[in-house]
Amino acid sequence: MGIQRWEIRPLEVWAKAKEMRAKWQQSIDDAEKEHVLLAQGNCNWAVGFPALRVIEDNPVGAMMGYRSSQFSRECRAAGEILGWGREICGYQLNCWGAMYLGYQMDGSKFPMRDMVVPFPDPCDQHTKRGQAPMDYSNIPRWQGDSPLYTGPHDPERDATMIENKVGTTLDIIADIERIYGQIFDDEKFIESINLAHRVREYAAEVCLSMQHIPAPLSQKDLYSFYTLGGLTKTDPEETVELWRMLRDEVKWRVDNNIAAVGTERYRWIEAHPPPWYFLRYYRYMEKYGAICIGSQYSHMMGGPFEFKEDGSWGPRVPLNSWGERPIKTREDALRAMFGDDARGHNFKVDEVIRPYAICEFAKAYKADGAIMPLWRGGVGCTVTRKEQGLRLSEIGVRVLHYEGSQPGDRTDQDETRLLDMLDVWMESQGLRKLED
Amino acid sequence: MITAGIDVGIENIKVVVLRDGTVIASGTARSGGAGRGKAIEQTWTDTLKAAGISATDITKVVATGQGKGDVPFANDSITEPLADARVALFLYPAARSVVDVGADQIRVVSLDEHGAITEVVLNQKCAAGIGTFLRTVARRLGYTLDEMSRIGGSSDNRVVVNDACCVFAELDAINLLHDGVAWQDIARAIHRAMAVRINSVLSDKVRPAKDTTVLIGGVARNPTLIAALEERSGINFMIPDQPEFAGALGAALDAAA
Amino acid sequence: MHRFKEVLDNRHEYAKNWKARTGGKVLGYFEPYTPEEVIYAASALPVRLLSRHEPDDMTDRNIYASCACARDIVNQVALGRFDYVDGITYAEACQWMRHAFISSQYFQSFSYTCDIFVPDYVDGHRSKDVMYSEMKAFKKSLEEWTSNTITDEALDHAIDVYNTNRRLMRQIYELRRADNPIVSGAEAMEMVLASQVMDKEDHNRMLQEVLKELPRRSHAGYPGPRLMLVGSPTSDANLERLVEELGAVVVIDELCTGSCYFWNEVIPQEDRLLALSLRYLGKPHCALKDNNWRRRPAHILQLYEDFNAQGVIIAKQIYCHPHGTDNPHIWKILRERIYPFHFLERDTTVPEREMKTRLEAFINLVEPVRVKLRG
Repeated sequence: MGIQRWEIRPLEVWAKAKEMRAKWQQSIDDAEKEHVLLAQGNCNWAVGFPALRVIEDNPVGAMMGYRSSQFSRECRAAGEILGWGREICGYQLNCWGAMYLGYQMDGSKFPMRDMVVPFPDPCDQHTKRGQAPMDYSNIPRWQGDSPLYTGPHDPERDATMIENKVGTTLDIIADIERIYGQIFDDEKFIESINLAHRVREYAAEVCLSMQHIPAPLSQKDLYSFYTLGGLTKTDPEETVELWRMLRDEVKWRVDNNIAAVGTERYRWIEAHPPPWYFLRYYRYMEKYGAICIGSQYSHMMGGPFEFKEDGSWGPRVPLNSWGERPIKTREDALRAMFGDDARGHNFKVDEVIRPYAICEFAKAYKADGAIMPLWRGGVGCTVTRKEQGLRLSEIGVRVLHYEGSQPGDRTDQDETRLLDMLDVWMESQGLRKLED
Repeated sequence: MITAGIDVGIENIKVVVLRDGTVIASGTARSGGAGRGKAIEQTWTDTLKAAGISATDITKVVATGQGKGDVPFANDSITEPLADARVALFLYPAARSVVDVGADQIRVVSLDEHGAITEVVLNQKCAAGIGTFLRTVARRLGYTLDEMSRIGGSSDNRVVVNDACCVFAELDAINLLHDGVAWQDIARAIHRAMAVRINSVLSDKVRPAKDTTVLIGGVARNPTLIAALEERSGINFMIPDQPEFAGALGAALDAAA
Repeated sequence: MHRFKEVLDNRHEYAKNWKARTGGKVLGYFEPYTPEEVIYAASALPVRLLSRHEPDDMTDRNIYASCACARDIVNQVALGRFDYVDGITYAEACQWMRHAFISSQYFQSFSYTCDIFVPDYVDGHRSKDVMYSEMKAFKKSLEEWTSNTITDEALDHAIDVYNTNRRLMRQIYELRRADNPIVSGAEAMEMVLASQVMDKEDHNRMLQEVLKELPRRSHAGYPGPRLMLVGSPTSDANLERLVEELGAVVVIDELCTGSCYFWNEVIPQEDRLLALSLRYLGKPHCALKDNNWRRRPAHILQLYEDFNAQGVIIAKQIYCHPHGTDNPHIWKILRERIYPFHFLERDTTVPEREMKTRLEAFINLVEPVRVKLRG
C-alpha cells in the first residue's frame, strides 16, 4: 500500500520570530548600558515600570544547553564546587554557573540581576529560584506563591488563593515603586493585559489546529514561538501581531492540508521540555512518519484548556469573550491575569496534581503514542511523570520513557541508547522506517 | 530453507543457523569490545563451518542485539523485542510475556492472544548491566559465574546489599567481606538484590502472567538468581535449554518468516 | 529511655493498638506543616508516615527519581504496612512528598485524603490569610470525615497537649547542652521520631518519667567532639548512632524530623485557627521555605553556638532538591565562620564502612589531638 504524502512548506512567519528573539536578547545585553533595572523572573506586569526588564533563567539555561554542552558543563562544575546538588534543575545550574564564572556563552560579561521576582509556579525548583543571585550579590527578592490543591473545587478556597496572588503582587509593585522610585504605569499595564488576552486567543487557535491531520506545525515550530510572549517579554503589540500572523498562516496551512511532516502516519505527544541539546530525536522520529504534535507544556500559550460538554477540547474561556470583562484598575488587571490561570486546565498544575489530564490531551489530539522523559534533576519536570505514563497506557496510548539529567543538562543523556529505544518502540508497534 | 540469526550483545555474540524450523548449528564468542567486527566475522565463519554449510547456502540472515548495526553480511535487522517475541511463541505457543535479562538490558515484552506485541518495558539506567555486574562481582569474590550461583544457593543467611544501584551493591559486598561475612552469604545477598532489581522492571506497566512467561537471556542460566526472582515475583518462568541463544534464534525465525 | 525506640520500631502495632483501644481513626501525614492539633481535636490520631529501608521493587512503576524518604513511604504503603491508616493528608512542602501522597493512593484506598496548601513564602504579608483559609477548609473536611465537631474546647486541649510536648522535648534537648550530655544524639532523635507516631499524651507521660529518671543517670565521662547534624529528613537514628560509636557526640540537629518539628509553640489567642496558622508559618524554616527572608542560616548558627558544637555534618538525601539548592549558602555561612563541616549523601542503604571512614576523618579533623601521627 502506498504511503499518503502531504505537501510540505517552510513557515513564512519564522523570520519575524527570529528577529524578535534577537531584539529581546539585545535588550537584555543593553540593560546595564541603558541604566535600566534587570529583574530575574517572569512577571507579566513588569511592562508597567518604565525602566525594568525581566529575564528568566529557563530560556537562558535552555539556550545554553542547546548551543554549547561544553560551556554548560563548565557552568555546572562552577555551581557544584559551591555545593549545588546534581539533582538540581539544569537551567539553574547553567545560568547561575555562568554568574559564578562571571561571563556568558559568548564570553561577554554576565548581566547581573538587580532584583529577583520568581514567578509563582508549582515546581519547587521555581520556589527556590533566584536565590543564587540573591545570596551571591545581596539583591532584594520578592516571592509570590502558587497556591493549589487536589480534590473537589471549593470556590471559597479558590477565591482566597487568587486574592493571595493579587495581593502579593500589589505589594511587590508598591515595594518596587517605593524602593526604586519608578512610577508604575497602570494604563500601560492594563493595555498589555488586554493585548495578552489577544495573544492567548490566537495561540489557542494555533494549538487547536494541531488536532488537524496532517498537523500544520511540528513541536519544534511550537517551541520556537511559545517563548515569544511567554518567557521572553518584548513589545506587546509586536507580540500580538506575530501571533496573528502565525494564526493566519496556520489556518491557511490547515485549509490546504500543508503538513509539517509529509509522511504523517503516527502522532505522538510528549511531556514537558525536550532535551534541548538533542532535538535531533524529532527528526529521527519523522523517519517513521511520526510527528510530535505537542505537549501540555508547548500548548501553554493557549491558556487553560478543558473538555467541553459536547466532548470537544477547547480553551477554558471561550474565544473572543475576554473583552466582556472590563479591566479598569491595576487590581482588575491582576485579577484577570491570575483568575484565568487559577484553576481549570492549567498545564503546570495539571502536571503536578492531576496525572489524568494528560489523557484528555492525548485523546483530543488523536495521539497514538507518548514519549515522556524522566529527568533526574529539577523536580517539577519529573513529578508524576510515571503516573501519567500509566494512565496513558490504560487508555491504549503507547508510552516510552527515557532518562536524562534535565532538558538543559546533557550529563546523563545516552543519545545512542535513546535512538535505539525509539527503534525498539516503533518496531514493537509494527512500524519500520520509511527512509534512512 | 536455511536461515540464520545473529545476536550481537554487549558481552557475547550468538549465532543460530536454522533449517526448516530445526537448529542445525549455533556458536558464540565474546563481543571483543573495539574488536567486535572481527569477533562477529570469526563467530559467523566458525558456526557455518560447524554446520557444514557455506554462506551462499543461507537464504537470509537477520541481525539483532544492540550491535545489530555492525553485521555487514546481514540482510536485515530487527529490534530485540521482535526477536524475543518470535522465539517465545515458537518455543511456547501459549506464551503471553517474554522477559529477557542479558548482560546489559532487561526487557519485558507483553503479547496478546494473537501473538502481537502490546507493550515493551525496558529497564531504567539504574537497573542496567545486571549480567555484567554479576560477572564482575564473581571475579571480585574469586569465582566463576556458575560457582558464585552454586555457593549463593547454599546459603540461608539474610545479609543484604543495596538493591537500587550496582555500584552501591558492590560497595556493600566489599564492606561485608571486610566484616568477615561468609562468601556464600554475600553471594546470596547479591543474587537477591539483583532479583529485586529485575522484579522492579517486571512490576512496571504490565505485570507478566504467573504461568505463561518465558525467561531468556544469559542470566536465565543462573539457578540461584532464578530461584530468588521466582520467589520475589511469584512467577513460574518457562526457560528454554539454551536461553542465551534465544535472541539469535528469534532472529533466525524472523529470517524464515 | 529504650521505650521510645521500642515504640518507633513497633509503630504499626502501636497505632493498631491505639485504634483498638479508642475506636478512633488514624490519619497519616507526610510533612511537618500538617496542623496536627486540628486532627487531634477531631479525636483522630495523626501519624507521620516514615520510611524504612526495605527492598523496593514496587515503586519504580509509579515514581522516577525521588528521595529515598518519599519513595520508601510509597513502598511501605505498597507492602501493606500502613493498612491501619484510614486517611492521608499532605500539607504542601516538598514536591517529592506530594508525589508520595499521589502515588500512595494508587496502592491503597483511603476513606479520606486532604491536600492543604501551605505558602512557600511563609513570611509574606498575606501568607497567614491563605493559611487560615486552608486551616478552615481542613477543619471542616475533618469534621465531615470523623463525624466529630471540633469545638474550641477540643482545640484548646489539643494545643495544650502539643505545647506540653514541645516544652518537654525542649527540656530533653537542653540536657544536651551540658559538657557531658546525659542524653545521646541517637536517643534524642528516637524520642522526637517516636513523638510523631504516637498519641502525644502517651508521649508526654513517657517524657515526664524519663525527665525524672535522667538526673540519676551516671555521666559516661568525656563524650568526644560535639557535632551538629543538618540536612534532609530521616526516619531513624542510624547516622547519629554511627557517629557516636566512633567517639563523637551529636549535640544538636536541625532536621525537619528532629528539632524543627517541635521547636516553636502555639501562642494561644481567641481565634484558635489563626493561632495555629501562625505557629506553623513560624516554625523553623524547612530548606524549601527558606526563600525571601532567610531564617535558616541564622537558626543554624544560633543552634551551633547555643549547643557549643565543634563541627557540622550536613547529610542530604540523594534527590533532595530543597537541600541541594540550599546547600551552597549553608556551606558559605559555615566557611565564613570557619566552622568545620562535612557533607555526605544518604540513600536507601548507608554503606557503613565507607561512611565510617569519612566520619572518622572528619572527627579527627575537628579534634586533631585524637590522632597522634608523631611521637
